[in-house]
Amino acid sequence: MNKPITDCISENLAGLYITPAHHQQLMQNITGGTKVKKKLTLSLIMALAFILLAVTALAAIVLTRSPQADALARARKALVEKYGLTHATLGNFSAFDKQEGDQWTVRFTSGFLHPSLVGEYKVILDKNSAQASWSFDDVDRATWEKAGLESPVWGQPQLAQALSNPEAADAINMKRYQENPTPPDPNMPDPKVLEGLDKDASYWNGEIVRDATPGQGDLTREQALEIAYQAFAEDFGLTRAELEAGTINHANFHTRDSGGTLWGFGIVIEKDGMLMDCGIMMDGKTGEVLYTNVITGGNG
Amino acid sequence: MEKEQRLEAWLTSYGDAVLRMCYVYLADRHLAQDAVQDTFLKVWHHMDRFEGRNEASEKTWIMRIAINTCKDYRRSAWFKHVDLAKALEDMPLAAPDTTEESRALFMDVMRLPDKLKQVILLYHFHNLTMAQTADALRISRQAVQYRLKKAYQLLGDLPERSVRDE
Repeated sequence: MNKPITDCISENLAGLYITPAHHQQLMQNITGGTKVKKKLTLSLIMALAFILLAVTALAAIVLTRSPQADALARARKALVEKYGLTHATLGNFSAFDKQEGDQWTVRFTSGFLHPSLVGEYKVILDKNSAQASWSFDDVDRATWEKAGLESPVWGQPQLAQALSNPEAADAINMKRYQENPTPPDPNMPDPKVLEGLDKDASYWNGEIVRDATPGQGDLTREQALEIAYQAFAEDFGLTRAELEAGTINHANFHTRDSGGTLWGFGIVIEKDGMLMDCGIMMDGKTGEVLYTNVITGGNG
Repeated sequence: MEKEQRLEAWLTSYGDAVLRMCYVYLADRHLAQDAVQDTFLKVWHHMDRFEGRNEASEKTWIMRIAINTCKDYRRSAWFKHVDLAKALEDMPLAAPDTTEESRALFMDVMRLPDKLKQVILLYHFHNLTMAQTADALRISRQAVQYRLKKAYQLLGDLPERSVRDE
């Protein structure tokens, strides 16, 4: 008769029963159509208060993005949706954006993987649409869709394989470079600009920025880091636990020669056995996200 | 029988059992009490639909409403904040002769996943048949058997816990 289970529930809940007073109250409430009013236990009140505090804290740092950062995020999303790329495989590419009126064009090229292997992705964005294309769109998908690294063209499947088997990927990639040297990347800044920089200066997004210390009105490191975590979570699908377990490679505060300040972070996160080097630049006072990026394949 | 008298009778017959089942399901005494009121409120409103059925199906019907009420509570924002560990500290008084083994088994039942807990509560605690349990949960008998088997595995394979012959 399955007595152990039946008996254990009855025995352990012997003190839980409907008292005559409770019975009377129930009858009154039910026949009177009274619906239950949720009782707030102390633990529930404390839990709700904690949640309220957490929500308030989050509300204080709702992410805002510059048009450039927004364009980059939308472009990455468009490539993920159209080509099945992941944030990890997209990390093989660097993004270069250009604005013309309301339209943004974002190009994704790899500085590490030979262009004849991986091609170039391009996304044209206006207010309401994102058109993604790949320089190998006209290549028969059958040649690469189910192929390994020997495929003449590397799409998402090969990019993923390259991340899990970098040695084999490097060998093929290097062979391509030997057979077909490429000209210097026209997107890189003029080396003369970099050579002339002061020790405390660096070059970012076409402008000179200088190391500094946050002052009054600037975000603290903790505030800026929280924004970085939220942006990485949104842009690269990382969890809070993954982010907090990551290694902060750099946390730099800068002044801009053009005016204003910047916070920049580089955080290396391990996800699915792979290292993702996530970078962000934000306004040093408002926290507006100006740029996010992830590097996975050694294109740095 | 007058509608109110029937409610009174059902509350007397099944009230404690529903309360205890709700407690096992929700792990919170106050929520369990609320769930009892909501269960019998639904019973009251839908009593007219329940005509000409025997006692067994009457019990099945009430237990189904109770289970569904508990499921709704589990889905609600209120339940999400119930801390099971704290709720277990605030357990109702057990019978004086309750053994440690009984206590341990009860805790194991409390910790079962919802779907397994449902079949254990209906089949063992409320002593419904396999068919009634299946009817109450709107699942097949095979599904009941499967869930019971899984529950036994988690609770430990005591011979007394085997499925009844029906």
